[in-house]
Amino acid sequence: MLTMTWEEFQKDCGELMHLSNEFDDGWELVSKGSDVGQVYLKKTEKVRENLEVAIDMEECLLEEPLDLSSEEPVQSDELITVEYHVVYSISYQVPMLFFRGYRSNGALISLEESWKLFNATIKSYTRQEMLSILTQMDHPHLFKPFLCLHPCKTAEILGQTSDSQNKLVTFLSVFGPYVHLKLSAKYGMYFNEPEAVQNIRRDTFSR
Amino acid sequence: MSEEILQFLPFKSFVNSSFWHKLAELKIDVLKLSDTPETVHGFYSSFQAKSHLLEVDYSAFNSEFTPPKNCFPVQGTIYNKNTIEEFKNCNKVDLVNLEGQKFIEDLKNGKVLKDPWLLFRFFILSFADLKCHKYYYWFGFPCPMSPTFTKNTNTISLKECEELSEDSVLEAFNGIPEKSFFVLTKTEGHWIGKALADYNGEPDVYFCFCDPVEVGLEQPSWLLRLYAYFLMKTYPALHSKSVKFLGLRFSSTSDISSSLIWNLVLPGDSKSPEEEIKFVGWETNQNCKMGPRIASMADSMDPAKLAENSVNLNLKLMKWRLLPDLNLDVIAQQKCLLFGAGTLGCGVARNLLSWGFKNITLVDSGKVSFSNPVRQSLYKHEDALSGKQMKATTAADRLKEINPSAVTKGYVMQIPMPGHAVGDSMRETITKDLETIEELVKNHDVIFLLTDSRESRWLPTMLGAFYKKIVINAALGFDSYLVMRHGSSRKENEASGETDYGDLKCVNGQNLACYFCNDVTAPGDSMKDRTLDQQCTVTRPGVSNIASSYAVELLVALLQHPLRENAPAYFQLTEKKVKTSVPEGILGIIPHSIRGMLCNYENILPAAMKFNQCVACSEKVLAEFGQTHFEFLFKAFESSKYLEDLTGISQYEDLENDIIECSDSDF
Repeated sequence: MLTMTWEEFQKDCGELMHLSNEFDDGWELVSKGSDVGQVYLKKTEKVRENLEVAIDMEECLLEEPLDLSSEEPVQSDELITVEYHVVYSISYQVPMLFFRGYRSNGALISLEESWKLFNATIKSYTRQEMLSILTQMDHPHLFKPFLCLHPCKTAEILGQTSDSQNKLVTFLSVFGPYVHLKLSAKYGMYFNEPEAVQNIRRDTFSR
Repeated sequence: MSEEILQFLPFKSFVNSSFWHKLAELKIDVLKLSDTPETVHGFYSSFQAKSHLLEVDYSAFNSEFTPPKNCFPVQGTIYNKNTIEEFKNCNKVDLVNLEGQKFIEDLKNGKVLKDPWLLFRFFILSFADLKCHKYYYWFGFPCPMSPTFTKNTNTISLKECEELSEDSVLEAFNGIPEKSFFVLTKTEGHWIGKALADYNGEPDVYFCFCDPVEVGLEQPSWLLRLYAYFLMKTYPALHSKSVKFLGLRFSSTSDISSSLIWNLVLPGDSKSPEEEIKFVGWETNQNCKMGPRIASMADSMDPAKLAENSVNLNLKLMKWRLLPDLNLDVIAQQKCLLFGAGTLGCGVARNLLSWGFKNITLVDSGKVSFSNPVRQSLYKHEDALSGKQMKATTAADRLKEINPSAVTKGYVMQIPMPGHAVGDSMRETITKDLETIEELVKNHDVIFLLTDSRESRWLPTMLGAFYKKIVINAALGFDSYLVMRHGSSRKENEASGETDYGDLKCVNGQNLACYFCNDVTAPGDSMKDRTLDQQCTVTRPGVSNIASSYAVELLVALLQHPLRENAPAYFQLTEKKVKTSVPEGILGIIPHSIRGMLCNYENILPAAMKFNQCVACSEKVLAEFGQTHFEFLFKAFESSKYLEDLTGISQYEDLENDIIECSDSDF
């Protein structure tokens, strides 16, 4: 089990912001007040989504595609904006990842469709587990429904990673890829042993 | 490869939702009915570009515009029309030419030379349907239609370029203030960046620009087309010369190796100054056709829609996660009619909302009184204060306050009862009420019986059976409750009475009892001889919450069954443990009735057969109503004896009425 205190979360946010600014990675720190939990990280990414894959996966799971007739499906090569928020969960003492997507015309992608988009990226053996924690909740500061990864298993999963210098970076590296949020290896490189640096640099540059 | 006409990638608009929020705000508070063109700002980026996008967001309307980090500003104009007709009828050719002329003006008066970012401009034709949260819009990126430009040599990447090193380009880029368009010139063996205004016509330079195109694509963005046109107009010395353009594409702040170099022959300016220049630049829509786009923003802008989606999603998660076969549509479609808006009525209505039921109608004749709000969850003290608030209408309003997308209505009305004679003076009013009640039963799918007396349940029971509706009944004792579904009157197939199912007995839904089937007397005036405390329903408070929850859950389970109200119920004859288990639907078993006690926290689930002499649901009663309609009803209201005679249960008259007319808590 690996939990974080609010102070640790803030410290890790600070470090992540520092690196993000250095790497020009676009993370923002949003402050809604001075109480515990009222500061969170935010990032907006453009994601090119292939929904066809998503539908196939859906069929495997439910054996009937969800009814989308009421709305125009996302084009297979459509670019969407995904807004990510990393919020501190006071009850679970871990970071939580909230997210939602928008189309190029500004319209919100329905949570149902987002569910499908993110569903498809969750692969193989971890799939069931991820599905069980992918849920919808009201954003604690914006009071609007977002998809999120439920924090009930976060501490357990983070506990399996060996001692981490920045738990927030570890959290994002572990959970981010499931929801199209790819934290650059440079963050890990900053906190890792020097020999790992070479590989990561190569990866980063061949990206 | 040479002499090939160069193709340009047109810009794609990318509207962030905050842009529409800001436009709506401005339209309501500032612009109002004005439709004069307004200045807006957009931005693009060549930093890890995903597509050739021009983005706008909430900051578009700022008077002092600062683009986000690593982005370049673009000036634009929004033509926001007041009606969809004006939007449609706007002459699109004139508009793009009008906007294009602004570009030409800026070229002529030297503004572009001074501020090269003015090379690129956009405009939006739009109509904001604020009521429906729909935005019709069409972006344009004006550019002179001619000339075309031809490639002189093959396009190469910066990596392949021998005379330029990435580092020297980056150094120049970082050193110059105007980064979107600049010139690289060689001075004393070094490449340095120069503002366009400082360019003096020296040969062998690179015209640089930040190209918002994904790494790997060989075509440049629309910007190069505008850039080349600008150079052609501004530097006649370059005509017919080979000109090199460097389009910067950043993989990261320090990686520009994927930037491309195009070598073009700049044509001579063939047009005379007087000749009219034609412009192109309307964006294609999602289907790659020339046409406007529509953004339907209700999902994120309409609070009612937000609430609805959120409620639905909660239910859908239940479906996706645990019950893939759960049919939520059937739930949303049912229309529920609640007789009684007291503790049970409030509880049932709230549980219905939780399950995603949308249509809820309440019938009650009472006013909200001081004792009500603590137990009846839809009322407040304030409602009782005025002494005028009717329960049915107040409850209907509250439900809408809780879920704005609910369709609710309250009817303030007495339910006529057997044994409650109707005087001549009242006959007209009661007839009208009966018509309303009958119409309501006809127009709903599910009837809930939630009143505080037995005889008030007779009319809705009979009507529910006559019109083949699902009827759910909940009744309370002091610390006991009964929740049941009435036997169905919808004949699906030839149903036998009770059959064996392993060690259990199975009763088809069509053969299940109604609330009155077990009585051997017609409902009379049960209120007549009651003491005051008996008239109010004196119950332990939890009882109504339990019963109202069971009532709704029983309905939901029933709706999920393929036979709906015809779903069978099972019971066992002996006390001893049996091997056969009751067959389950997706939400478990579907009992006929649930009788529970709070004193020992126990439920039993009896199933009972229909009684063919029942005063409420038997063939005789339904047939009589079918034939003589209200005449029959008034006879029944006149005297309960009438129903007893009609069904033939008078023959049981030896039995003591006192015993039979027991309270709901008996079982």
